[in-house]
Order: sequence, then structure tokens, then C-alpha cells
Amino acid sequence: MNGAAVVGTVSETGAPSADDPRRGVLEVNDVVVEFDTDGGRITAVDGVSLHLATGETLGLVGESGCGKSTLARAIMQLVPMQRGSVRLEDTDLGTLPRRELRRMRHRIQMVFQDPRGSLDPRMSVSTLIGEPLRVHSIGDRTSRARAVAEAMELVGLPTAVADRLPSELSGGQQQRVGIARAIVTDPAVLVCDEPVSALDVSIQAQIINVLDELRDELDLAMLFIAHDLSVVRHLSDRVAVMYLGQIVETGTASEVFSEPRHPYTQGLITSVPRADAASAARLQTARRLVLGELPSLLDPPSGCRYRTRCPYADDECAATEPPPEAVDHADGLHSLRCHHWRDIAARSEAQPSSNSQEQAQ
Amino acid sequence: MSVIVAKRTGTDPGRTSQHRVWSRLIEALGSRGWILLVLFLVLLVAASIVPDVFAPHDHETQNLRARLLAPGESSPDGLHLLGTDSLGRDLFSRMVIGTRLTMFIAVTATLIGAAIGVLFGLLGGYFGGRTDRLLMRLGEAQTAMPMFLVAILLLSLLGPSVGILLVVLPCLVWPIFARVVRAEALRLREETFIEASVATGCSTSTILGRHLLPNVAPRILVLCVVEIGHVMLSEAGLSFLGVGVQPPDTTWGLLISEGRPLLAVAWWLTILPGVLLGITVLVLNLLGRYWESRSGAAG
Repeated sequence: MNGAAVVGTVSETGAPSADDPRRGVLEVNDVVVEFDTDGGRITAVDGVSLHLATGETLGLVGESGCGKSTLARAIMQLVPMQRGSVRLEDTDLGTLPRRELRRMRHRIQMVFQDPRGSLDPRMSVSTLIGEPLRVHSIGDRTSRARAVAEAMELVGLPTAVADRLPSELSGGQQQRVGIARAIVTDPAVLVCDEPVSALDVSIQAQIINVLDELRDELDLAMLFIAHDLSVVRHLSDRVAVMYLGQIVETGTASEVFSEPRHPYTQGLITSVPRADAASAARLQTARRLVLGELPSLLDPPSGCRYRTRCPYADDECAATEPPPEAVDHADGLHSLRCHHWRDIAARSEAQPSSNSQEQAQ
Repeated sequence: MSVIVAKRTGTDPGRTSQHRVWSRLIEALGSRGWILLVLFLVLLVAASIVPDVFAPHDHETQNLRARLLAPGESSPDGLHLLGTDSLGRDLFSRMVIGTRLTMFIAVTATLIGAAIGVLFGLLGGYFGGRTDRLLMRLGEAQTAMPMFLVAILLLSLLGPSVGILLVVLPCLVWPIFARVVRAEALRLREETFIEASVATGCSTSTILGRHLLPNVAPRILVLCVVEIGHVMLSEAGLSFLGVGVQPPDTTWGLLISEGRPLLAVAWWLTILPGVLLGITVLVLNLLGRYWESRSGAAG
């Protein structure tokens, strides 16, 4: 199987070329976002590329502080990029003048992590949902009212709450308002930044289902950011794993979950708690895989960024940064950044106690 | 929900002793007391709209036989509740008549100052950076200058008139509005809903006008009520110095000024309008602070 691997600095997702029919509605290329902090300059997003096709969901996972939310904000053009491009339906958002960018925004919308905080506390539910239509001058007063009512129905909000203020709603309802706001302009791309992590566990599934239905109904391309793998697994067609500002592994969801190759991905997947005793035992061995704390972005490790926590790290990992390496796999594109993934794969085949079996279920 | 309520009711650290005096006064008002304050203001507004209903005498009629009557004394025209001035004009009636101009100048000047201050505060707070520094330095320069002296200079150069008062007095209050609104805008601009508005595609004017302004509006209203009182005092000060409102127009400040030379023989001419002015300013302050404390507690 190793023979199929192609070594080289291809983009992580193996973004298709311009004439490729799989070319996505959203193309993110080599995005770098830097911030000045009190401690110095940090690179929160370090050369991330990804692409999204219509109707497709890309799950972006990683620990808190790995740059997922910053990447989302860079895609939304809410934070400035130092390098790279974000192309939405063949328009480069990064180079657009402010006014043009503002006009494009109805095609790409975002659902925020904090449902209460992302809604203006002084606006009623119907005003909030209608606002994107109003600021983009879509339709007239009556058609807007109709669109708002439709959006409310789509996300499962009762008409009775139309005149309420956000503070009078439950967390789940607040997030439904956030989603309704995001889809009311019929966008091509929906960026969801941990849309359920602030919610009660009992509500999370409902919101996930709402997003799931909307994606199919509206043919949305969705970037779904989460740190909860089970949520991502349920929704995503493809998965990208982020670590310290870089995408360390990406591939189709089934592939990444059943056959994770990067040691970090393996660690993440085995750290999902399982109810049965056998996997609880495996969890003990898995603990080994994600060790210690996330290193500071102010002083990222040399070479491979994961080496400080990786059980397989050696001198090569400290010396050179592994380039994104494409793995040609039967069911789609798979790429990762690791010097030793072949050895690691070979080792886990030798002692088949690892994740592949567990994930196959 | 309960978490948020708890967070909001938490007492503000760093309250000054002045704040404690105010909060004790507000406590003394109880839950119904503010109705009295509102009633008082309603009376003042009514007196400025239909003074004839309240004034027992014509405020311009002179009666040299009834000069300097003490409060409660009567002339052939009837009872002079608050006495008469050196020309025998009924003081109570003059105070009632003076209410209109006093209120008009204070309210108008405050609104003009508030409009300037809110605009500058929103722009400075939201944009930050150079815009903010420029606007705030302007406000500081304004505050650092002895505006009262500048006002006196302007008014004595250009000649006192109500119009110039409406230029000078807003200058005294706009920096206060600018500071408060800027601080609020600085805080609000970090809120996710502002970021969400940008992501949605709101223009800057939409964000300022439809998101920031409504969220600072309650504070602006409270501040307006308090500042009307302060502007009233400033106008009285200018009128007292003779560079404010000129006779035959009258305001409470001018009444105080007119009574001053006679303070030794007719205390009421100075003290009574002064007491009315003082009470009004106090009521406005109390009401503003009461609303502020209540909106802070109940959201």
C-alpha cells in the first residue's frame, strides 16, 4: 500500500486544478494568519489549504487553541490574512474592496459558537433573522417577512417567538436563530464554528439534526468546526485534523476515522470515551498517544509540530518539518504531515489492537 | 439565565463615597418615591407649556406700592405666596414664567451636546486608532479649557443671546457623552454580535446605528436626564454673571442674579429661585441614577 503514496508538497486536500469538475465553491489556499500578542507574534494559522464542493461537509477538528476558529474567521474575512487566498465561487475575497466584499457576504455565512453572544440583545427574533436580507436589499418588505417565516420553520422555531428578544429564548432556540440568520440569504457556504459546544448535551443532537437537514435541503457547502469527534463523524463527508495552526491529516470521514494515520489523529480518535470495557482498556494504551499540553504558539516546536507529544518522534522529526504528503487511497484523497506514518501503520498492522478494528465496528 | 442575572446584580467594585451618598438617597426613595420625582418634573413641564394656569399674577405687572413684600404677604392684587421683587412683581409668577426658558435652554443644549457626544463616542469607540485619539483629544482639550471663561468671553464679545447659549452650553456637555458612549462602544465592539453583524454583511453605518446605538441608548437617556440638571446650573451661572439670558426674558438663574443686590433686605428673591433650581437639579440627578441602578439590576 505504501507504493501508492506520492511524496511531495501538494496542498493538504489535494485541491483540484481549475479545469477539474470537482472544483469547489470554496477554495482556501495557503492561508497564514498572524497575531501580535503581549508575548510576541504568533502564527495562529500556518499555511492552511482546503476546498469545499456544493453539498459537501468538511469537518475541521482539533484541540482548543489550534487555530480552528481563527481559520474560520480568516475564511469569513473577519481577521486579516498575512498570506494566501480565499476564493468563494471564483471570487478572491481577500483582494476585494470592502464594499464589494460586503456585497459578497450573503453567499457565505457563519454560525457562531456562542449563540447568545452572537445575537444583538436589543433585536427581536424576526428582526435578527430578517437583518441579512435587509442589509443586502434582498426582496421587499413582504417577501422578507415570508423568507423570515420560512427560515424560522426550517430551523424549527415556533412562530410565537418571532417578537421575543434573544434573552427570552433557550440556548437551543438562540442557536436556531443564529442558524436561521445564516441561511436566510440562501448562501453557498455555511461556516459553523463549534455551533453546539456551548449548548446542553440534550440540545446538541437537535441542532446537529437541524444543520444536517438544512445542508441537504439547501445544498450547502459546510465547514463544520468542532472538537467533538462524534459530532463531526455524524455530519462530515471529509475531515481535516488541525494541530497548532496546520492541517496534519485530511481525508474522507470514513477513512480518517477507520484508518487514522497521523499519530495525533490516532490519539484524538482513541481518546473518544467508549462505554464498553474492551475499548476502555484500549483507552489506557491510547492515553499514550496525546501526551501533555498543547505547546505555546509563541514558541512552536522545531520540525514536526507534534513531535513534543508524539510517542514516535525521533531526531528527524525535530530537524525537518514534514511536508504534506498525499496518500492515494481508493476512496478519495488523503494527505498528512508525518515522517513516519508508514512505519506507524506497519507497526499497528503487526499488533492489530489499534483503532482500525475498533472503528470498523 | 440565572447565571447572567447573578452576574448583572453583582455590585460594582470601586464605588466612590459620592456614589454611596447617591445610592443611599435612592434607597431612601423606596420603590414608589420616584413617582414623586416624575410628578415634580411633569409639573415643571406643564408650567413651561401653560404658565398662565400656574401663575397667580401677571409676571410683568409692576406695583410700586407692593415692592419687596415678604413671602405670604398680600397686596391689593391678592396674596403673594413667595413675595414680590423691587418692582412689586409677583415672584412666584416670575418663577413660573422663567421655567419655560430655563427648561428649553437646558433640554435643547443637552440634546445638541448629546448628539455630538454620541456621534463622536460611537465613531471613536468603534474605529479606535487614530479616529479615536483625535476625537478623544478634542474632548480632553475641551474639558481642559476653562469653558466657563471661554463662554463668558464669547458671550461678551458676541453679545449674550439664547442662540449663543445653545452653542456654548452643548460644548460643556458633549465630552461627557462622548466618554461614556466611547467606553460602551469599546466594550460592545468586542461582543460576538458585532462580529456576527460584520459577517452577515452589515455596513459600518448599520452597525453603528442599528446595533451599537440601541445598545447604548439606555445609558444615553439616563445621562441626558442628569446632564439637563448640570446644563441648567451652567445656564444659571452664566445668567447670574450677566452674560446669559437677558431681561425681559427670564430664567431662574436670571432671577437669582436680579435678587442678589437685595440679598440683605429681600432674601427670598435670591434664595427661593435658588432652592427651586437646586431641587430640580437634585430631582433630575436622582431620577437618572435611579433608572440607571434599576436598569443595571433588572436588565
